[in-house]
Amino acid sequence: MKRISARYSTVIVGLLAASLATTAVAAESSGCVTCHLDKEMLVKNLSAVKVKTSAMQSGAG
Amino acid sequence: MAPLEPQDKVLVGRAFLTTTHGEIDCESCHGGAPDSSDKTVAHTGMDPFPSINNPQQACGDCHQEIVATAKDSLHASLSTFTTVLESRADMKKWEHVDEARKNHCSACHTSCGGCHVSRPKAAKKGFISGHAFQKRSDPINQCTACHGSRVGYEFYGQRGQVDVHAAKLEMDCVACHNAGEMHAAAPKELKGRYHLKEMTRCTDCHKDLEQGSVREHKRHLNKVQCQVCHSQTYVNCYNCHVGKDSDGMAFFQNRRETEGMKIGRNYDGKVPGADYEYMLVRHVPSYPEMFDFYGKGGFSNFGNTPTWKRASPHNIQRRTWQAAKCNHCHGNRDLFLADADLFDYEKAANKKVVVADGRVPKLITPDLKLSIDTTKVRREAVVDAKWLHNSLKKKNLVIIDARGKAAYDKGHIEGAIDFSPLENPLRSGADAEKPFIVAEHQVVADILGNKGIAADDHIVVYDRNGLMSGALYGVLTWAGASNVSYLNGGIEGWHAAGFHTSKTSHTRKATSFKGIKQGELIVDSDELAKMLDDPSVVLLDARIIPQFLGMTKHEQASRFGHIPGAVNVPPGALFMENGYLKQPEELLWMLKNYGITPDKTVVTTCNTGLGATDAFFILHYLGFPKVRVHEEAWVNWSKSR
Repeated sequence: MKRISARYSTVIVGLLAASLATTAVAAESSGCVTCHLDKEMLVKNLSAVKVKTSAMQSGAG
Repeated sequence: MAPLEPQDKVLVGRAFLTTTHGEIDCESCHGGAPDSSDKTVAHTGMDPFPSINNPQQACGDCHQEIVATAKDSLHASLSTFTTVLESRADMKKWEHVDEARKNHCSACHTSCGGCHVSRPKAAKKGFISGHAFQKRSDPINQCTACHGSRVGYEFYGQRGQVDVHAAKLEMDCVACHNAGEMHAAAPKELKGRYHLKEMTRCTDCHKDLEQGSVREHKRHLNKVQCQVCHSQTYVNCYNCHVGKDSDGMAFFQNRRETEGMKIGRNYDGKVPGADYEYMLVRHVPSYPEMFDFYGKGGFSNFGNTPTWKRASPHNIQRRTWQAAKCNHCHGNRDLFLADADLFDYEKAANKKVVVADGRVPKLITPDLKLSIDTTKVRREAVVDAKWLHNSLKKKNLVIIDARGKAAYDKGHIEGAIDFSPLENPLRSGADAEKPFIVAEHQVVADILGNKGIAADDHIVVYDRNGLMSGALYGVLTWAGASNVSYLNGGIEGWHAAGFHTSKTSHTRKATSFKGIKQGELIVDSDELAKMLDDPSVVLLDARIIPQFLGMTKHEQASRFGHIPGAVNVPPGALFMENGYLKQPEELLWMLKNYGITPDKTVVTTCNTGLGATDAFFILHYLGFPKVRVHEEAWVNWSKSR
């Protein structure tokens, strides 16, 4: 019983540690931030999107 | 507010990853396929606006209680727009009206992300702090990015002398408009935003006024809305024209804006806390044919809802001109909304708002006396459209259109020459070692001479809002022109007086400008630094308050802040909408409240010298004998001091 318990404890601690580690770096581990943290890459890959406003618009909204 | 660069809009800051929200997978909120290294594939199914499209899932898992109400808040639903439109509409034609509403009235709604993460969608979006979530909304990048032309301008000194809550207490928007109000659900039947029971009221902070030491509070409490005494002038809009262009893009054209103030009757006593008879009213740009592009006759019940609506301008001051003495308000028929102020189409709509002659408070005798000396005012420095129209054939009259060539070519006052201070090399460029410094006198004289301007001509300057013509007035005076006048109200004043414009370009025969330089009108930073401790000198900083307080800065300034000891009098305090000027007595009274009086030497400063020269014009017009311009201004001062 003691042995089983110890084995479970090890598994639980291991799972918990893995879970915490995953949670703590969740956004960082996402593929999204590979690009979105890299300003140079964004500069290379993005261009200004032309603002979609009619040329006929005038005055304060 | 300049738009963010494309990369800055989506650049995540490393600091975000260590925040609570950084512990969540990006795709949990945004979806997409983050495992792909292909940009297109990675973004397939990605939702850039999860809090708009799916607030319950994106934010509600953790912030359940807030999202439960915030998803139906006024910011999210704009429900009172629909309520007002329904009140005016022929419901058989609601389909047309609703299409117009969706195209033109619903563009500005926002949700959690637009107040806590990014600039709102309507303000061209982009992370404001590397995707870090902020509990407190950013007043510049978020709140006034949408609420700009009225609230932002008023609050930060582009319309009136700034709001006292911003200037003295450095309060931001959420200091008053807290989460309780912002996250409150707007019931479907809500008649108007002022009916929201969670809405902030002045008396939430300013309690027990009837017990306080201010006598006028006791007299006026429950008779007038707080803003009647404590607001400054604000903008009214007329005739918003909407439609779609040839590319099918929706547009609006706000055809007329005027700055002023009107007191109306409180037409809706059911507004919580509005147990007073008089309140400020603002004209909304609606009219019966406004949505005719989508189907005629949509507003057959136009008379159901006022077009002069309850107003709460955000340029509060403790002391205001209308409350400076009793009879600025009492007996002042012009200050109260009259039937004559209405167009025929809106008379029925506003019958409960108009203040009948018998309801205008009676004159008070004796009244307070304000000791304002207007005898030194240089009246000839300001002319009106009627005078100019009658003087067009006057010998030696030179009319300068300072708006720039593009505006000039679209139509200008007959006989005017195109001469913008920004499109002529009157000062050093932005890239110069010392940027924005006025050119050598001979260079300026040659430019003026080549334009056919002589020093003894009567030169009348005009533009769109006063800021270019005010600056040009200053440069011409420095250069030695002896007779310069400013057209009150500029091109708008000309149009409002019913006079036509011309598209025919006009030039003058080159001449020699023989003015004598008035060098004492300019003070450099070294000299200014020595003057700062002199009690007979006042330094007037004519920038908007966020720059003065160091919240924002001119792009070429080296740092945030202001010159020690400066007094901030923002441009909105000096010029009204369209370049109209307040009466000299009011301007002198306002300046006196800042300690700026004609017995002092007044040095004006700003970012690049333009605003400082505008302030010079106003003070020169008011008859101040010792006014000097710090042309190096903050852009140069901040480099080395």
